[in-house]
Amino acid sequence: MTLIYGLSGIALNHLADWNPSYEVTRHDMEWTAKAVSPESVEAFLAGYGYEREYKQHYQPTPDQLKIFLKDGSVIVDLKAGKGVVEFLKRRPIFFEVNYLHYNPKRLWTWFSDLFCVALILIAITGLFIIKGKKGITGRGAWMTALGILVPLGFLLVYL
Amino acid sequence: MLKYIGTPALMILLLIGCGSKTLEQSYPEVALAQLMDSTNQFVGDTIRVAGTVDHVCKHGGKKMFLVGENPDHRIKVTAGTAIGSYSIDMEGSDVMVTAVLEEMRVDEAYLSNWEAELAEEVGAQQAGDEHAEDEHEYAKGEGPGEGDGMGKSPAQQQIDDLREQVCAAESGYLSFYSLAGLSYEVLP
Repeated sequence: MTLIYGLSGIALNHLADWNPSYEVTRHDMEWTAKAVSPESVEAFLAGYGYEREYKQHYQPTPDQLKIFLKDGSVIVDLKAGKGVVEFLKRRPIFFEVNYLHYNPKRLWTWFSDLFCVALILIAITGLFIIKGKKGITGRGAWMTALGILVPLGFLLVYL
Repeated sequence: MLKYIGTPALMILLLIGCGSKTLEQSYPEVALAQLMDSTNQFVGDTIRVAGTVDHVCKHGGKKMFLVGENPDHRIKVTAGTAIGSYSIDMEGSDVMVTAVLEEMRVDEAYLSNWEAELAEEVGAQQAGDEHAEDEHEYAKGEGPGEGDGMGKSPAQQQIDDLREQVCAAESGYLSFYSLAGLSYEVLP
């Protein structure tokens, strides 16, 4: 559980830098057909070897064409004759841990709440387990103080 | 002993499964076109709506958009606790969702609150916070820090545009509709 939330925490912390769950690949395409029809869409995809990936297509606007593929999609600007295909591939491990991090089901929410309660218990009881100079009266005091002062510092500066 | 518990338990599970399927099918099916034309009639109702999945939110899959034969007919469907999340694999698939139609009203109070949140976000960004959240997904601007050169952010522009529409609306508010998904099935 700690690994699940640790990994997904790092992954989701950097949402601005990457898609944590999917590897996204994009390629440019050229649309040369005069009109949109099932045949012209099929020919367009066949030109790039994607005809077997075809699912559906529709036009969000008269100048746009959206083609759904298995694991991806194509957006075409019909006026400019340019398109972009985007494929999404699940990132192994990251997809699964992120899925769990996003609380997919109520049962998981309860289970992860229980885990967090256990973590809190460990954090508190762990303060007093080690005795002597490595315990809370020795080195432990410094580490505990650091663990409190660093987040406190961030709160004071940024909140 | 096990066979005396196992068989009845299995039968009960089957009955529950069949029961929930029958319950879903008892809700009225509403064509997306009809829903878009008469949305206010169905607010609060549990209905079944079919459509093509146009987009699934890539981060968490908590919402998706259904589109009908008319591309102007597009509605957001959120994932309730029973669904959890939608898979991106559903994009391009035809689905039937069982959902409750919800209405979000945007009036002057809502817009004033939004402006206040925007002002806080600008303050947070200036303090170096890069993770200020924008919950108002209707304002799909680049963010509070980027303006149009006239000092107005896209989000603020959206607020001003909505404010004009609210003033022009007889009811004094604008309505935005979405579906809260209870269950769904992918159609063949």
